[in-house]
Amino acid sequence: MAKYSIKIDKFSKTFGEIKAVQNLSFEVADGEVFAFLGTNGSGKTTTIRCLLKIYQADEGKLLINGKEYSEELNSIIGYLPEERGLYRDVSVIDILTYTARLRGISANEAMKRSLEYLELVDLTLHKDKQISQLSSGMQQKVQLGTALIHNPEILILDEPFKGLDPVNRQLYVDLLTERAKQGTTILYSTHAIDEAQKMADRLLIIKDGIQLEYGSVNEVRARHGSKNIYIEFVSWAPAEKNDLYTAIINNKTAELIPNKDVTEDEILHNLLDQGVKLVSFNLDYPSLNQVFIDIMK
Amino acid sequence: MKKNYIEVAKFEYLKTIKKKSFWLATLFLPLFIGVIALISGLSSVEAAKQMEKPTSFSKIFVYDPQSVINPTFFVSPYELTDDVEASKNVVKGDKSAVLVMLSDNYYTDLSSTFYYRKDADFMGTASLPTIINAFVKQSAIAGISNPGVINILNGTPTNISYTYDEKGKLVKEGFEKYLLPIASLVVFFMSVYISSGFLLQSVSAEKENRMIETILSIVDKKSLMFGKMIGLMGVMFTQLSTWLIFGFGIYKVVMSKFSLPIPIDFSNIDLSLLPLNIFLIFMGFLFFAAIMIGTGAVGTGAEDSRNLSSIFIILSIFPMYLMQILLTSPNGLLATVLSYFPFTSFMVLLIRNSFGALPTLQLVIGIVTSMIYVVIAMFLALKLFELGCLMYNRRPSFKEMLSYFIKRG
Repeated sequence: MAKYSIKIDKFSKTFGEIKAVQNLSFEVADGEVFAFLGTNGSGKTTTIRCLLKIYQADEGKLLINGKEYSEELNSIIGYLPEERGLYRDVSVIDILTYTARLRGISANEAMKRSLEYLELVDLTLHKDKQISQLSSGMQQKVQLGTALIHNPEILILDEPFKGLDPVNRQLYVDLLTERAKQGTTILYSTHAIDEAQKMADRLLIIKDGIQLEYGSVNEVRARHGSKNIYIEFVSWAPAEKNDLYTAIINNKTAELIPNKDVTEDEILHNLLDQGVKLVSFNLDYPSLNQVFIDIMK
Repeated sequence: MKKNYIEVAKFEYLKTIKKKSFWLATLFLPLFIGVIALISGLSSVEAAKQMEKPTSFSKIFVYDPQSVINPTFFVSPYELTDDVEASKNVVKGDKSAVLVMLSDNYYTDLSSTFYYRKDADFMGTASLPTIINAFVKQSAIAGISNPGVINILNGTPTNISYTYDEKGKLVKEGFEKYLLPIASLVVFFMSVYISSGFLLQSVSAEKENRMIETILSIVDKKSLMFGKMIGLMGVMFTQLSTWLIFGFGIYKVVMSKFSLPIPIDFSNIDLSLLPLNIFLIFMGFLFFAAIMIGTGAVGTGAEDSRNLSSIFIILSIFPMYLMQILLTSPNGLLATVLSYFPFTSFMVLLIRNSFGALPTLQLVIGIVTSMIYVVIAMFLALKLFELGCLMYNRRPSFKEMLSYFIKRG
């Protein structure tokens, strides 16, 4: 497990008259994959830039591993900016070794890791080519390499899937999933809600610099669903009404409307206690995509 | 952790000197200047030869009522004439004919008149007066018997100057006197135009290709800025060393193969001026490097930054236009004022110091103001860099800059 986490507490930032972020607070736990969702201009990039001290925060604390960002944290952080690009007239291997060296890795080790990464993403044959000679997809792979080359314990990715074709998008997902399995803490902002639903443990939704949703993916979905439960059964039907729910029964299916403060776990156990043989037990949660669209309206 | 600015400096240095274009520029610039100088020199020699031989004229009538020109000079195409009108008629009908009329009172007024057709050979018409004047001079010298007088009239005087230094030591003055000022100015120009140009290019390209944010997430802005400055200063030294080695090599070869009259006595160069010159060049580099970094950061791209920087370049070369005044009156009002104006101070102080024309008090004030200007320029560059480096597709407004300076100052 990674030892580090991110904590943002009452963070605010303004640009002139524009309040980019207001009183934002959230935490990213060790080894967690955390999605930072919001439309363009909602304050995601500003938050990340302030976290990395590229911008100065006006108010609040932005901590990585309990400390404000400084160069000494470089060896444990990998960052992929939203506005990305590479030196066009520098070779692939030189860019990777340069970013590794800036993170305090020795020259030999930097070269070794760069070659290993190029092998992983199938770019070994292109190592001496200048960036301008590579296709856009290859450049994206090199770009991600600059964030991963030092095996960081924390990855901060601003719109990592932006501008990727489906093949590279899947490559990014695979590489990040692999890192997450190894215990890397990942904070990423995105518009790719489907990927967030699949990859993220928890998420935060921000709009116009104000936090709207924060929690696990299912918690957020549940907060926006009807909470009704749909079941299919092959035995006798459940009770039409009890202390936990009211049911609308239709042949071998039923819609259960939970009473106030009753959880789906309690209803499931109650049904099993009644001897109802369940084929399916589905919660009426909207997709994360739907939640996002509803919130942003 | 290792200081990142060293890593940035190393990368910037290697990135630049690995480029073929850098070596092409470094090796071909002096070669190009040399070739231009050679062509210019050869064409001057050729032109001089052409001027001595106005062969394009088939007839050159000379009217010489006082017999000023020795008759031995009148060989074809030169022809002595008494009939001015007839000669003029020939000239009117023949573009290769010329009439030269020496005044009736030539010994008093030294005046002569030339008649050509409008379409006569340009070079010939330009050179003929010189030739006629030479005929006149040689004819006059032929009448003198004293060989010393002849030598004075024909020869070129040689002048040698000696100066006493503060300790009373006698030093021979020669070409060496100008070597240090010229070398200092060359290095100054290199640092301002070439090295700061590299810096401008580096910052604006990094912003344009969006690499800057990746780098800024690893390196703080100060380290990035100073790293770039150190790296590109290294580039300047590499370029200077290359030129110095080539220049010295060429000098040695030329001196050993041809006995050219340009012996330089290196021991005669006054090196006491060197430390201050180096200081002023270094300060000038830092000042203009800071300006270029700030300009590169606020421009929307390489092209925009180049346009923005041109105003500062013009200001920096302004003293060149006033060089004559600065040299004739190195302690005059203009020289003194320009010594304290930020964009001109470094070059003007350098020129004045190179010629030993800087009073001690002004020297001290110049050193102090130079350092103050550099500190201010660095501060402004850093703030502009912070403000503008991530501002893509637009420049920060003056109001934004002012507000940022006040807020972050």
